[in-house]
Amino acid sequence: MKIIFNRQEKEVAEGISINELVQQLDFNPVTVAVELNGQLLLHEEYSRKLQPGDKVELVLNMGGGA
Amino acid sequence: MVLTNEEIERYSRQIILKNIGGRGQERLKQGKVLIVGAGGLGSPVAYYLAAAGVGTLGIIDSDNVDLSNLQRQILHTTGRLGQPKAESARETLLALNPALTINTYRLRLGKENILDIIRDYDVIVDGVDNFPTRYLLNDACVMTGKTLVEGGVLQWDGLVMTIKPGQGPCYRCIFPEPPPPGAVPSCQEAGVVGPVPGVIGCIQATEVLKILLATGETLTGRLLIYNALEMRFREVEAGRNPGCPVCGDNPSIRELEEYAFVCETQCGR
Ligand SMILES: [Zn+2]
Repeated sequence: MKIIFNRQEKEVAEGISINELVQQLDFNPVTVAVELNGQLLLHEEYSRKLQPGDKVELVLNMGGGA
Repeated sequence: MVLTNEEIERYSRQIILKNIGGRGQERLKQGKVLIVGAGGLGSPVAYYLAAAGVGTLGIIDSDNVDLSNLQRQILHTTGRLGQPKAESARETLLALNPALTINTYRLRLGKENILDIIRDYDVIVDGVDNFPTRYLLNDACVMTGKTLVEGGVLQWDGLVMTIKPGQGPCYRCIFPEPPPPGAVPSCQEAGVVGPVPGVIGCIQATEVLKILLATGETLTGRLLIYNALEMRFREVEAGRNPGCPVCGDNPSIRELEEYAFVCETQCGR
């Protein structure tokens, strides 16, 4: 199925969860916040399964530098 | 607190604004702002707040000026290499605006000293370069109800939000735990483009001015995310997380804890 990841179409497996997507993209789920369709998800919600057409963006924890 | 003629002239371009005026300028003069870190973020924050006439600025930094800092940390100069950053910052700020009170702290914040230091300030600005201090600051500000203006940068990206405890999310509502060592690179490891902390720091300074002036709307309940490579700003709404470990309904963190400084590179030193 197709989702919109960082404003671009992306083909992902049917029924993939947020957690699985984040890991597939090589991010550690503890280090990112996830925006789904304009709303920031709680970390508890990362097991949620994505639907076709969902818009996903990652927010990185940028606390390590200045 | 009455303004002098010199002050009225110096700040005339902002006093002319109807939501600042003489009264607003007096509020800024009475304002006390603590800037944690005199680096890439702390530099523009301190410089603009000093220029705007915020009467008392506290600057915390335990480091000395290093050649690799000067690409972005505009408070410091080539002539001050090796000098304590807090003192270098003080010199620059007083040269700009000699009437200000600049308190310097050459120390590393820890759970044993943070509450004593933040107590004296109205607003705290986060310009730190490591996760342990960032989470310590968040927890201390939540526990004492202090407004914290958060900023973070890495490479071409930046993030900024204003945390008003009780009125919106804290840093842990968004990122509950610091990343494990090595999971997120520091600017020392991954680099940062100088103007990126410049942009984020200027936004932090603007937030501080509005808070002191009690005007406008702050970045509370929304994160502003900046990508300089695509030159895009986007905003994400975020509410307080009832399950947040520090500001949630049943917080698991009730006392300050200390995150270990796991290694030199992780802390961006
Ligand atoms: Zn919280």
